[in-house]
Amino acid sequence: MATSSRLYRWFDERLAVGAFGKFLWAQSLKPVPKHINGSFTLGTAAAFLFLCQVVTGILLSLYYQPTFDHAYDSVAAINQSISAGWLIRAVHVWGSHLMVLVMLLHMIRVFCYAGYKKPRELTWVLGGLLFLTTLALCFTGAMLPMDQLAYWGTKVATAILSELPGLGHALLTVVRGGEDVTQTTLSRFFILHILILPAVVMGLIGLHIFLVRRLGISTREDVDVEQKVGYETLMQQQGMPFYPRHALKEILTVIVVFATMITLAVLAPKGLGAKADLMQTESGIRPEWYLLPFYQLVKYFPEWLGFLFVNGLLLLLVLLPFLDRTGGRTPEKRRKALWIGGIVLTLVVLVGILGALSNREMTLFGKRVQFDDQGMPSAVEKK
Amino acid sequence: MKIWIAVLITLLAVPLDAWCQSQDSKKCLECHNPAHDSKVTTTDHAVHMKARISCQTCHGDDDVDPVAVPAHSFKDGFRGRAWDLHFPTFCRTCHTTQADFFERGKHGEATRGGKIRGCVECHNFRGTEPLVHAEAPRHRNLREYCLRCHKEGTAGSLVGTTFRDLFDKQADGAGRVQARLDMLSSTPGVDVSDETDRMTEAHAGFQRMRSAQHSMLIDEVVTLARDVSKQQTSSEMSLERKESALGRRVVWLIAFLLLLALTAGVIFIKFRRIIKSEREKTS
Repeated sequence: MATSSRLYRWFDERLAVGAFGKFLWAQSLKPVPKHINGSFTLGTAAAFLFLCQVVTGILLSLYYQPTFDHAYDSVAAINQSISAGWLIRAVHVWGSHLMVLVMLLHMIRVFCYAGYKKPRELTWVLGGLLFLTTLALCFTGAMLPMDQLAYWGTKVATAILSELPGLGHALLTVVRGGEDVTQTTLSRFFILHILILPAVVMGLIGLHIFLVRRLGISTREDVDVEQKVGYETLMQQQGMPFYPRHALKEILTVIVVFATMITLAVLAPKGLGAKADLMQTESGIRPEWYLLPFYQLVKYFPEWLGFLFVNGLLLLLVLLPFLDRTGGRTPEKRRKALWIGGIVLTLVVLVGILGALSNREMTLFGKRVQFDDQGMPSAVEKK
Repeated sequence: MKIWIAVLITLLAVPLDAWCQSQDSKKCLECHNPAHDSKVTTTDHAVHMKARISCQTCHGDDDVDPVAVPAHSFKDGFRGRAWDLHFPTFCRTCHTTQADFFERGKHGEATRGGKIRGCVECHNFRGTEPLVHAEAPRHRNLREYCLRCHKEGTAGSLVGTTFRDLFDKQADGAGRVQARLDMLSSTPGVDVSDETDRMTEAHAGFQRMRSAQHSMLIDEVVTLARDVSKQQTSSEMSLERKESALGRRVVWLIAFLLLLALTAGVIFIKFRRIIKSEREKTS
């Protein structure tokens, strides 16, 4: 008997490797609806990006020092002097951007195909929570370099919590670990970023995938038809095995996402701002693109109302399956929902653009224009 | 004409006032203001003014209570007009290294012999004019200045020309390397700490050159200039290597993308074959 066969037998006797392999093979042959296209691979792409974040995050943590005095210098060393440190950090940063983008596209796809409807409500809720946890991961990670933007950005963003009536101050103290952004805040954000939130994401991904496998990818049939006929019967009639057709699309999407991430990392590596100066307020603090709509929306409401409004919107997003109880899945039967979704998405993008433009001065069509805090333009008079 | 003089005096008074207001010599301006005293002049570019050195630093007196009477009292430390004092002893108070070099050289010898007036001979002091806070001679027409004493073609003028060429060359080189250094230091993945250290050393060497030129000893300055050049050249070569390594990043990226595309192609072909054989089986 060949050595490899002997080794396989040795492991199989102890770990039931063969049985596990058979289970995976059966899973790969489980039928999926025939209508699924390339956009149905975004979930796998997001999971792949999370895996990249874990790997690059572990590598970065080998050199990163989570202390107020040394955090900046350690990131500067990663960026400048440690071999390939700049690349690992750039992949980590661009990976986070791509992860948020791919998750957003995945959610839009699920919404368009009405994949959140009965019996897949929980799959959507878990996906929504996964998205919010990812945003929290990005937010906590943004503080770690301890440059001017990181420090003052954290200070400004956490200060919003204090505007909440009643609980506000207590929440702020819990998040910051005191009144101000200090070493305790950095320690808390670090532990959240490398331990607690990744564990939550892993758990949510596991549950999400379990539900996707258990309930299957939604068909194009109405909810009641799918329930009446049964998912398995429908799949026997109009399904196809996951392997090889859809598996090929998944692999190709992962390759494209990986290539995009590496290209961005090499061509636009992430620099580092000036070291955080606790006495020198940084002007022009602006969150990353994915938080811009929230950042801008808060400005349109007085005090804590903005915070509640933004959180209310996010809650509505997570609870979408319980708000849209209609049974249709095809676009013809969901015109109203698609219109509302389209309008909301357009508004969110517009508000985000206003957020990006606010408090800036630029030349538009040959004229100098100034955008105020609300993002409204006004011509700059020549002196 | 009177209007122009008034404008000129006002223009001169503004920077001087701003300077003295922030110093401990506000009271001096009450009388010694360009508006009343034609001997008081200064400019924004004056090195001493930029260094925020007060009137008392050179003229002496009690800087805690600089009122009119003690300000002119020798008992309280008033030194009077700075140019009445012996140079370079007075300037040595701050410019020790330059004064040391100066005294070692021919200009020091000439000063001791009473032929020239020391530092102020070159540093913005012109006979009857009052002492304006020293400005480097490089800001003015040096050639014209040196030729007052050294005829063209003489050893003295040769030294001056050599110094001017050396300093121009070093300054140009330093500017060129610094621009490259600034560009690369903000590029992630490029460690320029060695080059930064070398350029700091080169800058210190350049400062030594500036001090050593006061000796007018050409060999000494040329040796220092050689050291500075060596540091600059090695930094520049090293930065060039790093710049070309930066260009190679794109080459590596293209190679990596091609490899990924190849992998994707192989997987695609393999899967198409599987799909085809399965279709044949079903049919």
